[in-house]
Amino acid sequence: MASEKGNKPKNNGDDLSTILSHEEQVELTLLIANITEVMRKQITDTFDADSTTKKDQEPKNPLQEKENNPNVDDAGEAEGTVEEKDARELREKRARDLSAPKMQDLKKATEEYFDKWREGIILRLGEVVNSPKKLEEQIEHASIEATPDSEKETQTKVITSNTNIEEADAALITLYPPTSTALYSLPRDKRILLLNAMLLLLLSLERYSSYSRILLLHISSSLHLPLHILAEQEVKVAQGLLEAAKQMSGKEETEKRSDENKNSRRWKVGLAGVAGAAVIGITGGLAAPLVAGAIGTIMGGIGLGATTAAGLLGALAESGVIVGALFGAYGGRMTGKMIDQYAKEVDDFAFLPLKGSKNHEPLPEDRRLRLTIGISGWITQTEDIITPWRALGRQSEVFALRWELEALTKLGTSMESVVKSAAWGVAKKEIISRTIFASLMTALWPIGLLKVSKVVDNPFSVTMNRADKAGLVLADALINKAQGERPVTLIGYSVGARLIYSCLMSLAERRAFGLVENVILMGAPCPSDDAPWRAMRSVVAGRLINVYSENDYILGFLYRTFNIQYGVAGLQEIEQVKGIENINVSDMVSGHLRLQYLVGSILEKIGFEDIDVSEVAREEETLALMEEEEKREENKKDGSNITPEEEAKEMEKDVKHKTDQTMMQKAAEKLRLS
Amino acid sequence: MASDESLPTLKILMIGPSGSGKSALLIRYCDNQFDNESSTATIGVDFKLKRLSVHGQPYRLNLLDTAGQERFRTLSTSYYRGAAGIILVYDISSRESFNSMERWFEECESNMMEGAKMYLVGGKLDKVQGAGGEAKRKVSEEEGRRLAERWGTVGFMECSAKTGEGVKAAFAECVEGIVKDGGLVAAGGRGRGTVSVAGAEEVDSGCAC
Repeated sequence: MASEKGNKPKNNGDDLSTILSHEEQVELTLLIANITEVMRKQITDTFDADSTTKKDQEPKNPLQEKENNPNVDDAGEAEGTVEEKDARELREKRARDLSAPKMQDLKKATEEYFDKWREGIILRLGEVVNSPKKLEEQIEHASIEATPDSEKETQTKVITSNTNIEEADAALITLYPPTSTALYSLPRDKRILLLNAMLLLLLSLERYSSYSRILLLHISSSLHLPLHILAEQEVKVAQGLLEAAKQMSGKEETEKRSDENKNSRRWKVGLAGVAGAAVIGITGGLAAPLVAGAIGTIMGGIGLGATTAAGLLGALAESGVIVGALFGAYGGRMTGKMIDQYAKEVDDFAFLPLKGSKNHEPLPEDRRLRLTIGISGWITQTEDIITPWRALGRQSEVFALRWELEALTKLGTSMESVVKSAAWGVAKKEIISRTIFASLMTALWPIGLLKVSKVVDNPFSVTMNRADKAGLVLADALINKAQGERPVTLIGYSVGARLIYSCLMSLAERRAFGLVENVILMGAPCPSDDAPWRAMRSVVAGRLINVYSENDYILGFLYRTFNIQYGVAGLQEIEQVKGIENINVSDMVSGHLRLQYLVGSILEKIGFEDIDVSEVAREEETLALMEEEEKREENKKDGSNITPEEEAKEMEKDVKHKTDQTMMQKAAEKLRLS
Repeated sequence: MASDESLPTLKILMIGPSGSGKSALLIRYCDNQFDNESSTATIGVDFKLKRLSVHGQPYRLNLLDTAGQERFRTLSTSYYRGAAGIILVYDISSRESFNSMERWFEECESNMMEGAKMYLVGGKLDKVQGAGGEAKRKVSEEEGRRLAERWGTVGFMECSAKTGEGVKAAFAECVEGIVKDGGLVAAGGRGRGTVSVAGAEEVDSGCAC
């Protein structure tokens, strides 16, 4: 084999064996093995009574440190302080909860899924690094037929704007601590090439699982590459694949010919199982040159040879069908059509693409390898379904979920009027004067407020109910691959967060792992005890973030009729589960109604990887304007003297009027459209 | 293709010390080739598919060729999941390789799934054949057989990847040993993805009873 290596034509770009020496390939394999081990550890930690979020965030707390230390015998601290005793009790409670068969089942299923995924990756990698022969054959084959322009492309290794960019993001490194590897010392270009090769290799499993995405983030961090490089490459690869797929379908006869080719093992191993590992045998030089041209033209700039790219991509590089499946062409589209399917269960449910037009499919240049779904919680006008999500950047396909417009509008307007009411103004002062917010939980709400509560209580419980149902529908859509084989990030505020909560619980129930990448819940009206959060954690591969505000009185007020004894996630930290990020935005979010206008700023604070800064600025402007207006109104109200009863009546009228207005508007729009 | 996909699938793992000839054995078995010069050590794990009929029943074999090198040992535990059979390979011309088998059997026993079968292979038979070859033999066939019996494997075979002698027989015997009592055969699935899912469930229920 050594002799063959020498003969290899040099002008065909690089494959893994040329960009990496044997030793480096070993390093790569070990790196992947180590990273996946770290990821697995994180999963088991979720179900470990000894690991809590708190420990992570307050390592200085001596109590927590003790828990951290396995050498400290808990039993030996019998005469500890009250705090220690509490902690011990909490720990015991966690252990009890965790030993419940339901939890154990979930843990087992999560681990099983993860192990399967890992096996697929490692086998695929093993196949690539261990069969240079196949790639060589393919390269020789390709050198005859490969389109000249693809060759040209591969030789000019254009890596855009890599001069004045920091070596690695601090955020990336804190979130995904680098695993030490000798590969770090490779030249930067080579590391980028390697990252790109890994992306293609992971895609060759015919699905971009959320775990795969997290693995890539770990790799980026370990190679000390900044996040945007991975993001840029994802975009490029998405374009390349779609472009290639177009050409593939255009040349059906070529495909037919390759089918007739006896050497083609394609249909034999075809779309085979074992996590895609079986796919590889096929790439042995057959349809590759055709697609390689297309992929090479688009992705040549990344520096990987066209044929190598095709080789790494496996079956993905050969079949438009598989590419289509990756982008969700068959699983049900992420557009309005889904409605009909689910219309019976939920009145109103649709994915609206934020980029491009509402009325047709997103254009190929807007397609991405990942997607983000933003879910609004309450609205005062139809546009509110979309506006908050404008702040999301272009590295993923952004959709807004339109659901239950009427219920959301009603909730929005009634909440607005309650907050603007004199009763709330009085109550707020009262609430603030009481130091313990917790007492509110136990029904000690100011009387005046309770009198106006009926305005908002009903819309809230209706919307909560609908959110739970719509969450099931969303889960179903995800399981049916409406998004294709791509990882999904879910972001929602208020009742929208409730929808996500319901969706994730359903995903966990149905053991649908590897679909969701990140989840951000803002002001979520859902329980804060650990069992549901553990379940949610199990289906989220990346970050699970609970954004809470201790000053969100209205959320506490609204939620009082639900299971308040389990706490409210939107008001407090989730302490008992490891791997949940708690973000305190008390200083930003003075009330529930603020959330909508703060989506961008909050995402910025979280360190969300992909935001549109100009949109965030605009959001902030809007908020400032609103605050001014509110102040003016408040001043006006101070003067007037009406009883809470009268006010409630007036508000009800007002709400009805506004809701009708919005719905009319919507109807009018529909008319105009058709 | 459909028929192939729906076949019952057996996952078989090949382990053993570095340089004992696992990869050569696999390439001989699957591609009927032998590369005299090749001496690259396997990285991580390699993977091949093969179809095999035993008593008229076709099976799909997922053959995993693992790296023998120590540095990959951290990886190895993950391979055992779902493996119905483990083929342990040593080099009959190397005493050292045979002596390490004890450790490999131990690793295997502690990691393999309940109901999985072991099979012992002594490789590089060609080296001890021909004129003066016997001198190169460092492990007698009897020793190999005794080791296999002691660990309760379903069989033992000496073979050569270079000449092909005994290779097919060894794999066939191993598969026969696995399927004899219905062991850990994963049913075939229809679509991709579902294959492995269905497979794992099958395996689990197999364990329980």
